[in-house]
Amino acid sequence: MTKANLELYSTRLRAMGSPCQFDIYCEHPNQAKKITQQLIDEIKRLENKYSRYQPNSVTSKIIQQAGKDEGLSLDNETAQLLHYADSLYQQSDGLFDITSGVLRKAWNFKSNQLPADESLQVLMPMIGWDKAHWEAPYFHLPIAGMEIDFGGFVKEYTADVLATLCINDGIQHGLINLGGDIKVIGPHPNHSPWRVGIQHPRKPETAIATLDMMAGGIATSGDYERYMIVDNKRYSHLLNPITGKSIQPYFASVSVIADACLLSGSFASIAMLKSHEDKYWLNDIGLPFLTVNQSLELGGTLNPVSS
Amino acid sequence: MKINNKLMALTTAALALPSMIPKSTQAQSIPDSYKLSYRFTDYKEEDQPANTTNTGEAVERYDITIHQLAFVAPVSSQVSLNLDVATESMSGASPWYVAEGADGQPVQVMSGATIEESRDDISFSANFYQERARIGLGVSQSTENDYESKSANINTSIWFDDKNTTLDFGFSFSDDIIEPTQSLALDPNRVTNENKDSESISIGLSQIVNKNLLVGAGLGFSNYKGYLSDPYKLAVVQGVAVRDSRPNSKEQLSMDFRLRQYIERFSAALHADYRFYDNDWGISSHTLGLGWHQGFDTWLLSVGIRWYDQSSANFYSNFYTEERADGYYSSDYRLSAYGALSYRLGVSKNFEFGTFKITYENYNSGEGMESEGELNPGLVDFHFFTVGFDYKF
Repeated sequence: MTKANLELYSTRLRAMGSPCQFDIYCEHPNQAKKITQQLIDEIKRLENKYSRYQPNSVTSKIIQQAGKDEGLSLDNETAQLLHYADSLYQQSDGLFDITSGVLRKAWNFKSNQLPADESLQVLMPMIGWDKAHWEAPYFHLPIAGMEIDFGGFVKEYTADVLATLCINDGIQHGLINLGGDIKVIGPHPNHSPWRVGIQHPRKPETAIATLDMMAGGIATSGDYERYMIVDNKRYSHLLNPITGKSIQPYFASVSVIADACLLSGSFASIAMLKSHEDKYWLNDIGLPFLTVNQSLELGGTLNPVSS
Repeated sequence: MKINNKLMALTTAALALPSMIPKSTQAQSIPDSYKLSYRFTDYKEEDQPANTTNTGEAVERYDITIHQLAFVAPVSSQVSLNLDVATESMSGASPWYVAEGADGQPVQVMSGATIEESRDDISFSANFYQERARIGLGVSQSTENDYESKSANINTSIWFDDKNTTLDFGFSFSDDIIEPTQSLALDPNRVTNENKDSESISIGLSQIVNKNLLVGAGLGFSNYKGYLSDPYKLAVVQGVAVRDSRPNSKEQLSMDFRLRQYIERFSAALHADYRFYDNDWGISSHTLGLGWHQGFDTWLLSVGIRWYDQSSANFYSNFYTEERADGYYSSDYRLSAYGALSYRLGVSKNFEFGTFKITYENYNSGEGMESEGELNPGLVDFHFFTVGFDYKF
């Protein structure tokens, strides 16, 4: 119960394709070193397990098995992530679909050219979570060429997992930031909140707003991660898995606060996908949120400290 | 408040994921490092005051020094072993019997010669941890020149509600042999070889109410059989000294309640404890304890106060003017009605590799705190201080 001599230990690294930062308050450098190494090991474990660029990852194994006679028996963590993906699919009315990744074969955002309808038509039969055979722990993609991708939420999940690791090790004050997917372990030792910047959708290195966070997770989904401008129209990486087309979101970005960063990220993503047809979709959910519309006006239920 | 179905659905799925919910850091878990602890205690009883002895002179009572060494070894992710050894050496006089003084007041007769005694304790236990439970097995032995005690115990903790609730069960038994040193000149009729044994069961429940509040309650029952008298004490019946003689069985019950409240704004913790005790010899007692533990950087300052009150055994008396039909006699101050007040001060300092601690306690019993009747003149006051170090590696 002692309030010991806490010092802030910050670690920066690149993982999961993003700049990451661990800020943890520890009593001793050795404790910080030990916990930081655990965090690095864990982020590498999850990256190796779920990256589709790793040939031995669970994701790669599932993709390699697509169209073959038998599926795979999966471990509990993967089974629960697929269960979560199923909930995402149901709750987003099919807009958040982890099988939609194959669309990247048609959408090349570096080409500044829209994909031809024919190339989309070839891919559409390979998309659809409802086509997957899923009877835990067995999972099977029945059509050759089908893919799944945990990239839509595994980073948020990892932020929660790393925070849990810290808490289990007795850390009460700290923050895990994985490329803007943030989980607060607890406020600074003097009980002051963490200042969290929300990225400006059009000026990547600046914050459009700043929020104070004592606990919980925050994640932002934006139209700026990958996009191209064709005929003066902005086409973002947010693709509709039902039509194969790029969505024209009402918002440039949506940030959501929830207990778990995983939930923050999921609701932010669904809100972006839904926004071109229902910009009020988040209002009924009950989670605090901040929106930036295409005119860069702030909205939502959160009061930024500065903007 | 209406909870949105979409939020509910995704929250439910998210919480099924491993590692989404922290283990409670306050619940018991396997130690994460080797720990070697040493304690030195110097315990000193106040002199028996001159105006309470039969000789009219003050008599030195017990002075005890204790060395304790404890070693905790987490040998795997599921097993930890504990070894405790202690050695005590004591010297001084102890109350022998209570006599009637010149004007009818009770006076204490002390054991004549200074007693030099030593005791060695050793205990070993193993704890086996699972996700939701811990089982502990322990054996211990205590040896004095006139006393040997062997005991064994099994206990378990079961965790519910993500370790917010802990249920504890314990069972222990002991077998003691008493072989008093003989003093043919002063006290020729001491027993030579006696035996007693005991069994105890306990059940406890503790609940983490929130991250700053823990409450708990426990219930214990013990049964003693055999020679439960004090072989070195006498009682005076109609002016004649007879052996201290108590029933050869005793059943006792205890209940305790505890509260631990951490107060974030002060970096401090309040501890409150209450215990009720009752046995079939007629003794019942209440203990109330309050403690304040103030964190300050790597220091922890502790102050505590404890209040105690007990009723006497139904066969107890300072001295007896009539024979008792049941033949039980004892004028041992520990069976008398009395009250006690003690206070404790402690300082500990955390280092990277361990903790250094000093504790001082002062205990006063008797006067001003009595609950009924005439006080036993042998009631003891004492103080002790302990210094110790825990080394983790």
